[in-house]
Amino acid sequence: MTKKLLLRPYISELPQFRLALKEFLSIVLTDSVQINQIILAIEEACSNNINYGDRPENYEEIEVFISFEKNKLVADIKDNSAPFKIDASICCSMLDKIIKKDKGGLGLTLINKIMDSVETFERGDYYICRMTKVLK
Amino acid sequence: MEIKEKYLNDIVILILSGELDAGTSIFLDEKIEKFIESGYIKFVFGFEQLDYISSAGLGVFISHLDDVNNKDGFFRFFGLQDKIKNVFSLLGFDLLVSIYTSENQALEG
Repeated sequence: MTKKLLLRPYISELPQFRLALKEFLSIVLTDSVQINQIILAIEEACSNNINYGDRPENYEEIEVFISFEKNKLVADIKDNSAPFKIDASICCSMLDKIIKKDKGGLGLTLINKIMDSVETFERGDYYICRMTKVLK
Repeated sequence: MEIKEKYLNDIVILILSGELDAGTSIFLDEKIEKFIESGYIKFVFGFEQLDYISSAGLGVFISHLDDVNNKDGFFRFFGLQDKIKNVFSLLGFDLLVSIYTSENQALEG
């Protein structure tokens, strides 16, 4: 079972994208906390692409493929913009961030806490961020 | 996202509804900034109607919390839905702020 969603690379498009994600995830999942976690992780990855991606002038929509394989969810984010290093390790405790007023890396921390694996790779002219989560 | 504001003595109560994400967090950030500039340092945030928070939303609180704490003020939160509480907890933010069930409890501290 795979769903393909398209996201125009603008922050203003995120609410509609979340709605479409929730609609699909709710077909398979029932736990509202888990659904919210997955929406959050996928949105954070897309936001990073929108905010930090080296987007060419002739940008294309970000394609998001979500599939359920046995007890695992796989989310592929396909973009023609080079992604932010989403699998980079993040330092600093939350307390340090508060003292330093450092908001950076929160999204990546959330992604890595929510998902079981995160990898980025190139395929042809595109970059893929693949995130997987074992569903309990 | 909608932000309603109320006051009780020197405490600002901000009731948030809707979604606090990269697009909407700037409005909350500006509002808190203006309150702090005006001398307010005690904030109670109502989250009962807040359906979503992303890292950008949490970043707003993170960027102001130290200033408020250093002036003997506070950020208190009440009425968090389980999914929002879970996001706080994923980042360990729940250990650094006070979370209450109701507005009255949050005001009493």
